[in-house]
Amino acid sequence: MPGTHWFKYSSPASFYPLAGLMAPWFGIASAILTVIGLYIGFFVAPTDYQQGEAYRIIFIHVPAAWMAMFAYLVMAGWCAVSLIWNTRLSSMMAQAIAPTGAMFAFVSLWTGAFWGRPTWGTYWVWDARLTSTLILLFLYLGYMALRAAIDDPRRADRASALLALVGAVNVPIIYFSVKWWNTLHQGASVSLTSSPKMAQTMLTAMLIMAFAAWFYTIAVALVRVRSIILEREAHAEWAQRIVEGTR
Amino acid sequence: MIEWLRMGGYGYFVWSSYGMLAAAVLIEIALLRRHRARARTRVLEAIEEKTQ
Repeated sequence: MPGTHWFKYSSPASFYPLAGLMAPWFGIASAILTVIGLYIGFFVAPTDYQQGEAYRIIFIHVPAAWMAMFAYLVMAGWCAVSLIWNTRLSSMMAQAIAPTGAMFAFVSLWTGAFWGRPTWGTYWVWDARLTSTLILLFLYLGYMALRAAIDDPRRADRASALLALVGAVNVPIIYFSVKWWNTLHQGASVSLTSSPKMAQTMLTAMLIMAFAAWFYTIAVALVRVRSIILEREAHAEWAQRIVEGTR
Repeated sequence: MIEWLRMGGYGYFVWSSYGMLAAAVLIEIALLRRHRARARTRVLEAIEEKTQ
């Protein structure tokens, strides 16, 4: 929009109300997409001729795995911005994304295990895709633990940003692991260069659930970043005015 | 309905997956609320410090 000074939103005081306005809309969009995606996934999509009904785990497993990887890249991106331009809000955004990314990494491992048992005959194998996703979960946990271990928030920002950036190398490893190594895990479910390997309704439900996961992550990150801003700006007059106004 | 819940004999695997996602989301929402309350308390403590 012409005349809008977007850089003003890099200040926590300006971003706080904007995040409050946006979060409910993303939350509502996520809830609606989840209902539509699950309806199509359970009541419209046909039974898989090889895996039977067990394949229906795909509607949460693939979106969770995509989200875990994408959230890490976004988190690392914010960390890079915070290191280069020394902006406080970037670190706060990275901090806000990490728990949700970890949650999705855990859910992708869990659902993968419960999908693997009926299809592969085992909950877990030390396969390249599974192991690199487990490392992703540990990277998220390490990032959060490192932040929590350092009292000075600015030092915590820098140290955890470095860890996040180094760990970003794991994301392409996860993605290409099924091509680089001979893995038990199947190849990519969706590719931009080839036609989908699943029925159209299955693909539709999976993509809708992926968008639901995106919007959920954005909503939760916005809510969480508001709490982080309040904690870190507790001595600022604007934060005190807001809290006193809603007491 | 029972047949649908059985998921062709894979009900345990399907519902354990969906159940874990639901539990994870509920836990995250509860933690968000707790975080929010903690942040507000910190600001209120800062206000009290200032007025003392």
